[in-house]
Amino acid sequence: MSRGHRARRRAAAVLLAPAYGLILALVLVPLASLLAYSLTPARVHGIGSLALAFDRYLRFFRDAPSRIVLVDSLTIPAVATLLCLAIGWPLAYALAKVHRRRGNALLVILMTPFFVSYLLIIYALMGLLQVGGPLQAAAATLGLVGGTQSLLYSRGAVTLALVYEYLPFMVLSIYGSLERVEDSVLEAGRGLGAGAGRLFGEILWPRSVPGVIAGCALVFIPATGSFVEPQILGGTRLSMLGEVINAQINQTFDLPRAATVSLVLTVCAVLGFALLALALDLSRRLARR
Amino acid sequence: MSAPRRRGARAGVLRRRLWGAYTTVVFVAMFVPVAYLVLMSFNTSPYGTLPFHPTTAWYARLFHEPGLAAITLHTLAMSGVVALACAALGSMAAMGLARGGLPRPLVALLRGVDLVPVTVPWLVLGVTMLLFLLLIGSGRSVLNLYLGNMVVVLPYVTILVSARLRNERFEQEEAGAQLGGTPLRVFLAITLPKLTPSILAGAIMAFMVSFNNFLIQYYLAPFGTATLPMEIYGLVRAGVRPDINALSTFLVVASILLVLALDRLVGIGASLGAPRER
Repeated sequence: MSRGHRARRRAAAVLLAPAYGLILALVLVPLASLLAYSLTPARVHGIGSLALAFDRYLRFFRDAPSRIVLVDSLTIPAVATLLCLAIGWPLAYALAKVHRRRGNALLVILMTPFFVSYLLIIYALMGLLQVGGPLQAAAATLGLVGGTQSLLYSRGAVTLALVYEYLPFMVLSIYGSLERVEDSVLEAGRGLGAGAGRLFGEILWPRSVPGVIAGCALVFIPATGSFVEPQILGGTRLSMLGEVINAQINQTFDLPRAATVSLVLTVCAVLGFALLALALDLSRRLARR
Repeated sequence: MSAPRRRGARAGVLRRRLWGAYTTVVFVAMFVPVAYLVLMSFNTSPYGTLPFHPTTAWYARLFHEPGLAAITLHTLAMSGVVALACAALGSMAAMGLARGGLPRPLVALLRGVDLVPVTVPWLVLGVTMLLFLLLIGSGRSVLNLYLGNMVVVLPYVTILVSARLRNERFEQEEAGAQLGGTPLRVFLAITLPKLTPSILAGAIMAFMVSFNNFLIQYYLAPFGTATLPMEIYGLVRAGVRPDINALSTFLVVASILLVLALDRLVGIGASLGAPRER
């Protein structure tokens, strides 16, 4: 190895050390130590026995209420992710391929709610969906709900909040991959008589799948960690694991249990996303055939 | 020849109209909550319900809220420090990754590591950091609040600057080096000016995300220290309402200005890593 090369690598190490040192110390090591923490006996520092740890995990899965909360923590974000995909894919297509000249201006508009605190979005939905709030009043006028029936405190309200919060991430991810589809390819397809369905199934969808997978990662995984949404919009009628973890940190101070639930949540979220990504990738392979 | 083409053109116009209608509907729906907050900040009803009777009373009350100005200033200062530190560390990391001559698998691994703080739910990250800090005998503190906010937004800067390094051409760097410029001089004279827009964009993203990052703040802020999102959370839970509307109108306006600034600097598309039209 030449001297110049070695000097360059030393410079690289100096450049990289602060940023990755911080990530290592505050993200990677703590995530790894979560496992150790979940093995500690309650309220006592130091590592407990393995049997104790398994017991804590077993108790979590044997407990029927925890199981219901776990299912809600995965299905509500999953439904929100699919809604984001259903609304966001056509929007990303419109921005990337139809309104191309105004595409950038529209992206700017799309980014704005993403920069507004999500607490305010949740708060706004609380007002819109309450009895007498504009959305509830509109739904009541249309006869969809009773005049005094609140739209709050339901899975629907929590799902709606998640769609509002995360839709821009989905659109931006898909936009990135659709923008790269050359117009000449689409023109050629149209020229050869392919209808909208074939263009979508054989060109647009397969080419957008990487963006869709990235979008699902940016929507589904963070959404599983919601705690303010179910707390404020779900009320006491439903709960997600985020609320459980928060209660263990701030109310019962059962930190090892909080670690156990955090770990269960993270593993389930990653597994759920992996399944989703596999299904999406399969759809791409099938379309390519 | 001309008849089918005209028919094709007409179909094209119809297609654009339909897509235009769809885009409009989604965009209008997306802005309903924000518009509602702004509207209600000028409404007399304290419960966020119609009918609409205009007033500016809630703004007057907002300005007399004790402590809110101090909390806002503290949160702004925190986000500013975090953004500056991230701009420095993130750009350094992006340079190291792109120009360090490191083995490719290592670079790929480090780029993957950047995605961890972005994708792991912030609730889990906040809780994990707090548990780890307690384990090593630290815990909630102002320093940890700053570091925790930094580690979450640092990857945004690294990713944005990396995208710029990949998309721009840098032949002048080599020319500068061949003419005998030291690496530092080449960096300051040639590379840095080209990177400035994306570094600024990254800093703005870092600023906005850490300003709004309730979950990280909630778990790392020392007891007795509130940030603006923590304060808003408290108000929302307590059900105190109209002043929040007035406050959020300010925040919405500030957000719009920052998004516009971000767009002026790099273009939103480019700031997301999409290649710029040449």
